Amino acid sequence: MRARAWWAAAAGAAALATLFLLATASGEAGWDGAPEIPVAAPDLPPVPGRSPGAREPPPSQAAAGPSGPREGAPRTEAADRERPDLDDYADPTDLAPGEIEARRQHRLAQARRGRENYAQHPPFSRPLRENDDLVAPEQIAPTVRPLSPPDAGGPGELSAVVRQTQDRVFLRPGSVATVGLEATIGGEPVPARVVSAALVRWAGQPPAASEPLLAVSFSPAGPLLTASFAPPVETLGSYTGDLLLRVEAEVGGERGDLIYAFVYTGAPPATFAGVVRDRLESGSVVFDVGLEVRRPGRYRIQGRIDDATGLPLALARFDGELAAGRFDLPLVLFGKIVHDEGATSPFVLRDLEGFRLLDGVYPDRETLDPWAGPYRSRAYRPDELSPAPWDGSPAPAPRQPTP
Amino acid sequence: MNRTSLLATAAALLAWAAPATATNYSLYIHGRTGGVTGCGVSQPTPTGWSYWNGQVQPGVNPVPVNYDGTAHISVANPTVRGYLDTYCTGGNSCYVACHSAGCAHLGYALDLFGGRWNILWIDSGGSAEGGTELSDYLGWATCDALGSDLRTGTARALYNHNDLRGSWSYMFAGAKGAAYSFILPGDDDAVVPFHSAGGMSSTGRWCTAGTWLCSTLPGGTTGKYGYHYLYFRDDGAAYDHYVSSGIPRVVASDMAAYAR
Repeated sequence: MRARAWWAAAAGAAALATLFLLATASGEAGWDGAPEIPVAAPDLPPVPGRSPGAREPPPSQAAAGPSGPREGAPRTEAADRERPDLDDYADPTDLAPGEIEARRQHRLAQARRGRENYAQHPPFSRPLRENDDLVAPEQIAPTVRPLSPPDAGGPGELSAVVRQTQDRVFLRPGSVATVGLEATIGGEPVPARVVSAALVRWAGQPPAASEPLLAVSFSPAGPLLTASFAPPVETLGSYTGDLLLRVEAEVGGERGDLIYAFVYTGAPPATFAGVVRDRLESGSVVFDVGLEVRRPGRYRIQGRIDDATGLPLALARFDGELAAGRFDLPLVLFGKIVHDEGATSPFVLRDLEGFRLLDGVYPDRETLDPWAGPYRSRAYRPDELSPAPWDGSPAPAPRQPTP
Repeated sequence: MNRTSLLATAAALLAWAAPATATNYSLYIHGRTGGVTGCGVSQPTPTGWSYWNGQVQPGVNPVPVNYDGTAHISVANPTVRGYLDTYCTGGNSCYVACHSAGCAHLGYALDLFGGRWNILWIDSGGSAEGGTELSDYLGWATCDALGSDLRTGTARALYNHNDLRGSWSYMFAGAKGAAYSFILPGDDDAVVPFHSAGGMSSTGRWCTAGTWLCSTLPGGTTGKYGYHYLYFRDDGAAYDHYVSSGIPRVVASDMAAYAR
């Protein structure tokens, strides 16, 4: 919907807030008289790492050095767009056959270049530049919504808006989830009160809630209400599936029901055993990650790699079948990424996470306890690392260390 | 003709014949089949073109990808992948039009099982890959399993949305909301908000151009998941989410023109 009445009313009552919001709106809606971007805008200038809507990096990175991909270098796929006249939307019914054919050929060329650009790096070692929502682990986007619909007794025009945060979706025995709640009315922060909060199982077809498994207490933390809880392992037993934290909240006399959704994935099927070594292989840096596999199957393991200055470099991934036993799992920092980003060694494997993939069922994964790292590599000279694009070679195979 | 000549002739014939066997298909992956404002669902798995109002959709060799639109994505996804294996491998290639939760299905397949399909490009209409706040509010999650997958936090944590394996996803975002659209941040098509339909890499409040006190959903790749490109933003607020009246019509027009 266009401007919501409740939002407009609130904003109209606060001229200073209006000016502030205008100033902080995106460039297209700026107040310098610049025209709005058209319906399907040409690509804006090369994406310098962070862009509207992108998340802020974790404070630890910000303190350590550059907090995102290096300024100036475009995201690989974004650099493809060089013909805004053909990339813009145009109603095909308004186009002549020749124009449609030109656009069709252009789109096919874009498709070809997209695949070629993607293939510059292997699937098992991708630039973090093209994964900016994954620069930090467990970045769960907040949910912002009215506390209650007007027909549920809310005051309508000035109804409370709540912002819910949670630090993870997937839970295991021993994991601790933290959730947050804050509220505004008319854009102004107001206190929220949690009337009740209980964790329930959510299962069946159609799904239904169990009896409460755990009462959860919220407490103030600055403008926020926060709560932390661990899944009740003994009560859950062998259950895996949805867990909902159901919250009844009150804001300014208005009440509403909120949900924080989690997926309980049961006992981890494998355990990280740190990083065994780093080594050079075919012009790339390989981190051998120790993994003790209890349940065989298909695993996806990934780690984030930064350079010596804290610049996020690569999302390294293992994706394959593993038998039970101890493995040295190779995670690759592809040499070309280092050259593309102008990165400097030593390189830091910042963290590890992963899951055993269960195809065709729900939940579709058994998650591992993450490994917090970091592991710092030896120093590598730039000329030790290859600037060449990926040649299609498969990822190095996992090895079982000899006793 | 000696043996060598026969082999050479056979090889030449094969080389000549190979391109002729390459076929392009237009795959249509439907969305959730549960009700929007209620739980009623008469046909969890559509048949033929039933999801698309019984109308064969445009594009070369169109194929409806029918799966259980009430099941968890992980549960129904093998069915979706079966279609991709059938039509998009070997010398064959696919244009893919997805609608709503169908786009989450495709992204899930590409990230966790991709690399073996030839996908030329994707038209994503009202993509629910970033989830929708309606999932909780209108009780979808109490209706069916797919509804609970479409909570914003869950949908975005389910797989790596950037990992389209180099295929471009052209995003079509409708803006004709409904009476209950106040639930959704920014503009929406009555079911999916712009942050999802536009392919933004985080939730947020985004609007059509010129909306008072609301940032315009940025064009192109800005702020998007990797290989997502905002192609159509419904600044006229003319299209809602639904097959008969909404953003799938714009996608169909695009497929008719370019998926050949």
